Amino acid sequence: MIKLINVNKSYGPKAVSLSNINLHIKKGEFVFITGASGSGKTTLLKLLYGEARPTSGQVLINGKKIDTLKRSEIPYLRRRVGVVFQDFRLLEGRTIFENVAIPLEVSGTPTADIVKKVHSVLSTVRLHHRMDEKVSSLSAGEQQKVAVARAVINDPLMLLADEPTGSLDIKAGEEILDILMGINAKGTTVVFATHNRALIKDGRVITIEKGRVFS
Amino acid sequence: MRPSYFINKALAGMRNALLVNLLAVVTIAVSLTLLGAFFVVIINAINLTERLGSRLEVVAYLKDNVSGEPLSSLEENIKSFPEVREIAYISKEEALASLKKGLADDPSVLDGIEGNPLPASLVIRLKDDFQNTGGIKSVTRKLRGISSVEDLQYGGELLERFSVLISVVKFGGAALGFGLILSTLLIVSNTIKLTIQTRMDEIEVMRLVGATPLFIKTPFFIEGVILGLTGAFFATLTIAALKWLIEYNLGSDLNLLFGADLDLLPYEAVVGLFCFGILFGLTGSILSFWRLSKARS
Repeated sequence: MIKLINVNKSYGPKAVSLSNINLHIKKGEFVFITGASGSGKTTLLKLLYGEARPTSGQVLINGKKIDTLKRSEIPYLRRRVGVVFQDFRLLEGRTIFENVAIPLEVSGTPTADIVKKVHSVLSTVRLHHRMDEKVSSLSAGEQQKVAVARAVINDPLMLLADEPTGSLDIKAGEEILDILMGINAKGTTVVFATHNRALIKDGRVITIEKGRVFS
Repeated sequence: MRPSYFINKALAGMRNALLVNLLAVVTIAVSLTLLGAFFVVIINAINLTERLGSRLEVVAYLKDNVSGEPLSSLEENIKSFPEVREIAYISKEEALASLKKGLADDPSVLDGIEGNPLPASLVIRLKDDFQNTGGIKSVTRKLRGISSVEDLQYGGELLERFSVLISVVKFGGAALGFGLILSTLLIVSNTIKLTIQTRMDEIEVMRLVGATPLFIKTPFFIEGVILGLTGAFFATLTIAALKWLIEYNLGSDLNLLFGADLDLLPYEAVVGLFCFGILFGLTGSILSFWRLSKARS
């Protein structure tokens, strides 16, 4: 599913972010990537959704090289990859429904299907009864649930979560982790990056320190 | 995706950032008002110089012995020139009477002159299409070839002056207009850049979920066009109000001052304003995205 072969990434001669990474994540796996802040977790995820390119090495998803994708092909990769961030990245002035519907609008889904799918995915995060509320009126935990709903609405091949519980209290964090595990149980590959080892439950753990992998 | 989707997105985007968009409309309207005022001045300047040029005439002074049949055939000959609209014959006597009338305040100037030294003449006026340097030159060349014509007067210096004036108005206006258009475009582009910058979060989210650059930019391009059109509308209103104010306060003095009717809101200026409004809005949006993407990379 995900393969990184001899991947190096640096942002300059003295700013090496990832060093000789070799990694294989199988379809349907739940993988925790852990390490201190600045260890390279975010860079690793960025390589997987085409936000960054490796300085050398190869990144493959489902056998397709994505490190050499043209700029014009990256939007189509991102429609197959859901991403969740620590800071949610929601549009505050819009409703829950509008935020979750964005990926469907982008991929040209008909309006009737958008309504059905948004309702369905909001049911899984238990926010379907509040879909007309502005996201700014939600708690941090609820906002992250909206972000997760938006990330999975297109039935992605994989879900990348970059410190998704970093801004949440323990209870809300665990709730988000449970939702992601539920999504994984339905077959979606989940890569969960966190510096908080206490969160780690069942699943494979990959540790990154100073840009190197210690599995 | 249907065009209505992008139009709705553009309108929703403008509603969400109402204050910035209002500010953008005001800025664009002020810039376009200046440009529109320039259009009005330049269009009237061109009309004025053309009207002044149309008052040019060629006077052919005749030899003393030209009268009767030769005069009639000369008149017919000149009338047959394609450039000529009409001719008027002024006899020696009429010329002298006219001179005396002109010197009524100081008749002593003519005291030493015996008889009538003034020649008879033909005043030749040209058709509209030939009221220019080329037309005058063509007619004078033909007149010089006629033996009964002693001399010609066609305000050569005046004609040159008008030609220079028309050139100055046209080229100076073009240069000034180019500068004004460029600065207006920069102002509009910077204003639209502000409206885009307030929505960078939205652009970032769209990129993240797989929107193509064109999908992201199209609503902003439509917004640019709407801003440009709205700005042009208010600029036209402002110029119309100025026209009313000037005409109300100066009225017929204005025509006396310039010796001709002035059109303070010519349709060419209005059409130009709306065209430039659309062009500036669209180009401003494209430029803004280009500058923002350069700043990112």
